Amino acid sequence: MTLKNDVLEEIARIRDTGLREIEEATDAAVLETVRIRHLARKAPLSQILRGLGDLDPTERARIGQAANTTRRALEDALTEREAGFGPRVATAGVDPTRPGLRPARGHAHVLTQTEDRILSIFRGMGFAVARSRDIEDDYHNFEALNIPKGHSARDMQDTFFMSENIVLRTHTSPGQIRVMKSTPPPVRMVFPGRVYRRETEDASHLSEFHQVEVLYVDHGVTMKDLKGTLAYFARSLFGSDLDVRFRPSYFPFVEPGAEMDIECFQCRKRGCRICKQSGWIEILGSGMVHTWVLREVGYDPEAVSGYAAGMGVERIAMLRHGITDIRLFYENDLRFLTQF
Amino acid sequence: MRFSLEWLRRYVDIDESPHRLAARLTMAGLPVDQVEAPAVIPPTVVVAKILDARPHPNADRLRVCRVDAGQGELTIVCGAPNARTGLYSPLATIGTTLPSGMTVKEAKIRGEKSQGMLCAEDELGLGTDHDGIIELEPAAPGTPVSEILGKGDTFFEVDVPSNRGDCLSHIGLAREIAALTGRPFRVPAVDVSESGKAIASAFQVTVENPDDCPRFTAHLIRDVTIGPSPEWLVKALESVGQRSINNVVDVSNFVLLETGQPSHAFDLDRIRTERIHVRLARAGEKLTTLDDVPRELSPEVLVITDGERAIAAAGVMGGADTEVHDGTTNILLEVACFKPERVLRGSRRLRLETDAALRFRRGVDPVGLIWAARRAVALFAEIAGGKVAPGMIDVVNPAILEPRTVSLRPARVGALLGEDVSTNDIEARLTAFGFKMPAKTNGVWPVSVPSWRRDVTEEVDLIEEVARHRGYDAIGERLYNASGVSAPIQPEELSRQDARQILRGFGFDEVVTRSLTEATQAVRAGLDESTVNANVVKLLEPPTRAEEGMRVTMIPDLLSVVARNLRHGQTDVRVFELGKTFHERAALATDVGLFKNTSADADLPVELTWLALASTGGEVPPSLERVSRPAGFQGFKGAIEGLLHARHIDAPKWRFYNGLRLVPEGALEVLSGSVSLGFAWEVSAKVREAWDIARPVYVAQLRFDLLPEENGKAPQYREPSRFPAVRRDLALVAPEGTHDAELKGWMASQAGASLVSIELFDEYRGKHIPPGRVGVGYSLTFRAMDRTLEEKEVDAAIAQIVSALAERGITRREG
Repeated sequence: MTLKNDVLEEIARIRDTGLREIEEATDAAVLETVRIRHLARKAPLSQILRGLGDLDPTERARIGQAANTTRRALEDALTEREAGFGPRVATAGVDPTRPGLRPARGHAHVLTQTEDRILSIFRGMGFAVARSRDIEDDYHNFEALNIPKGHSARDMQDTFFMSENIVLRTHTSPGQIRVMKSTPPPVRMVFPGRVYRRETEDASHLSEFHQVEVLYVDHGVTMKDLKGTLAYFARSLFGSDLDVRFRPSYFPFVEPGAEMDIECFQCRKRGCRICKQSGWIEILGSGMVHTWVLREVGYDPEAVSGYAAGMGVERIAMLRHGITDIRLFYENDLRFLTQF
Repeated sequence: MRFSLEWLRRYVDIDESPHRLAARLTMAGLPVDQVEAPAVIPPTVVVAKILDARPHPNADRLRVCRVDAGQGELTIVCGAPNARTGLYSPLATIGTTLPSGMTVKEAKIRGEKSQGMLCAEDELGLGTDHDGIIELEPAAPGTPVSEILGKGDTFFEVDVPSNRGDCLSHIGLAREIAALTGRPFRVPAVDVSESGKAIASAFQVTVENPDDCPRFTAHLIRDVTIGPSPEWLVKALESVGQRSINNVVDVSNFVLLETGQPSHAFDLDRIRTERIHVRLARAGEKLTTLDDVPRELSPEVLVITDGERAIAAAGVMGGADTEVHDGTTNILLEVACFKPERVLRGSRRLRLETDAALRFRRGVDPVGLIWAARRAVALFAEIAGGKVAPGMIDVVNPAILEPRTVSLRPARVGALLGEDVSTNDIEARLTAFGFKMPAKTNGVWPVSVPSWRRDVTEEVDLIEEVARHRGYDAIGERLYNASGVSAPIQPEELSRQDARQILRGFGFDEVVTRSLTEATQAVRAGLDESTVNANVVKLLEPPTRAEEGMRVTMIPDLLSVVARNLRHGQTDVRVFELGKTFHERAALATDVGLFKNTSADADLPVELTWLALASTGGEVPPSLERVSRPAGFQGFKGAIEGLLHARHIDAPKWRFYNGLRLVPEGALEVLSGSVSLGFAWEVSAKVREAWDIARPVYVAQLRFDLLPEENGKAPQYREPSRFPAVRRDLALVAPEGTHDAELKGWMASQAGASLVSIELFDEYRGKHIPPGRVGVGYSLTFRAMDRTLEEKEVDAAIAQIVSALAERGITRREG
């Protein structure tokens, strides 16, 4: 009896010690020593199991059962504990030196990216977007914008004619007329679109390019608003610390007219190749909507006033991205397109 | 226009540096594009005399010069071929910093000491010459070279706005500078002594079209001697880039550059009559102009005639017959004012751009032209020795001499600028520009506009003058958002962004191609020639064949993009463009339905907005780094279906299209219900050959404006079923050509509401399938909202489908 109880007690002790040691093991090496101590061939538990054959059959059954249960318990605990020391992720086996398998990704054209950017700045200031036709009549492209036949400003934009009265729009300004003629004030809109001018093509001129027109007409809009809005736009696009200046300019459909320059972001006014040594870069033309135009679209210039502006998308994209040849936009070389 | 600073100084004092003046003009609306100032030569560059020059012992091309630079002798090593004994040349002494930024140091050059540098033109910034050192006139050695060279004039290139014709002259710009700086403006006095018979008794002028020629003056100068111009005149003209011709022509050009007023000198003895008559040319009338080109006139051109034949194209160019020549003795000087539009037409018609025409188009000063005429006459007398006949002939429409009055309400200035401007300030600034400001009546100023400011016609023009004089910097900035909210993105804009984003997600790169094209491009892409020709909107005067008209299809442009990129070594090209095509309205009137008119402008051509796509099928070679994109036409078609799906078109219909419109015969048309959305096809071998593309290319054009708009409405939630789905595969044998979408429709109509999806997973032809038929495998998913479906319910649904399909000749495939 005594022998049997002693053995059973020892088995229980092995079990308790073993489980505690497994529990307390801090890494796989410690765990291995625990395994050797309790489950190796020379471990006490193994010796008990090996000695079972010498025992009395009744004792053999009870002791054998206790010893085997303990061994299994220790083995299970070890396996479980071992798993805890193993990799925490299932990707441990992959080879990190192999490249991934990338899905195809298309790129937005840098011109539409630039246009999107411009539009989103104005959208944030409450401007809606309107698109208008490329083929225009003389009235919307010229007459209604205070550029009658024979006007000197017609020289400024050499025009493609489809017939005496039908032209490819030379600017996005006809959109102003179309919107104002169909909408009572206030209007606050931007008009992106393609425009056409008869140009000798070179690194900075193409006969087709893109513009964004800006128009705001409401009660009490002043030149101060023009300056504030357009300067905010320029700083949003090119950098909030840049100096912006306005200087008088002439466009027949605005008066007073203003050209907006930004401080050259390359040389900071010191003069460089980008700003042609002037320290300033011309960004857009603008002005207060001419009273003549307001009357023409049926607005009352005594009651409302407004400003308009127009900018070249290619020019802005070229400045932002350091692109030196406007023709690159239309060559659509993927080695170019995928850079943006 | 190019202006000379020295010339401007005849009329106004200019104290500021050229760059300050340029900045002032730029900020006043007369942008100075370029300032050409003479080089500043450092004072340590002095005159040196070469005492002797011997060859360098260790270098063939160098010489060792002993020079006298005023303060003793120096040794200079020099590479210039013209370095020789006795030559006077600029020497940059030790310590001089040259315009290039280089500082001259004492050096040993191939073993010989060099104590300075003898300079070529480019090294002093005086020019571009680098062939040898500058050869100076003898001068005392040691004299700073800046006292001898580099004291030249400064030039301004001013981009005069098209409304400021008055500034296309030195007097005009000087007047503006005086107004901006507050300095006095002075015009030289003109003194003409007259002798002989009065012009009125010798000559007559009549004007038939006073509208086109509101003022015409004539002066008569007798006994001139044609010869070279004096040096001051030659220099003045050359300084602004004009060549001296002879004294009479030069005077005319000088006065134009001085006053902006063109004039024309006729050889009086070559005018066959004693009169001048101004009228519109007759059809077929001819004139050989000064450039010896015979030109045919038209009634668009105003001409100066001798009563019988044209002797000059008014405002554009004189005639060769009556041109001043070496033997000319008597001159009739015409100084006139022509209507800008008439001169524009004349110059367009004759295809002649002249300095005179430019000035007339911009408008000349009808009052100031008298001074210009007297100026020219005085100069003829002075430098060509002419005798001026007393008086002048002046045919004038008196209305043009009346000063224009424009009303100005002082309060409007502040209201438009957003800044308070006092009435005193307004008055001072307008007065500075030459406006006359009589007393206000009822608070309104009847401002009198100077005769040279033809551009000022309205109150806002005066407000701009005030703002311009104050400077736009004096206006503050206000960022004021009246409604306080940003604009919601509009459905169309949202759709554009959305479609572009989806296609990029499918691996398509966005391109932007041009609208102007050659019509045959569309034909080369396989479109019907007569249809193309009926559609294309052509330019009246195309600059090149490649820009003869507007595109009627975007496919050729995309094919060009594909070809170019394959040529550059891309292995798979997938591109799209959101763009427009343009069509003659008459051509589309016959195309009912397909090209639904999208514009209300009935007189203008139709513009259609498309999403155009092109794709070469599949990556070559396949890659271990990129997911291979769906290849073949099915992959391309799938991208289109994916796009349509995103726009809530779940079951587009595809069919062969055999109309003769703007796609090649046999293209696939895709429809949503009965609305045609566009076309897709693989381009033929012939088209590929035309673009030199060796690989299959799939293209499509989808009517962007007919795709349902992203309307911004929030989609409404539908609860998914909590019960498990049952999947069944159904193998069928169908007649070849059975439409997948139709077959699915038949199955769906039989299965009841619990059939939630059908997907094609297999297609098989061959063994066990009779010819003319095809094996298709569909995977059907059943699921009910309210319960777990029982096997027998699904079995019953399948049986129902199978028996219904059997009636259509589609059988279940056994085994």
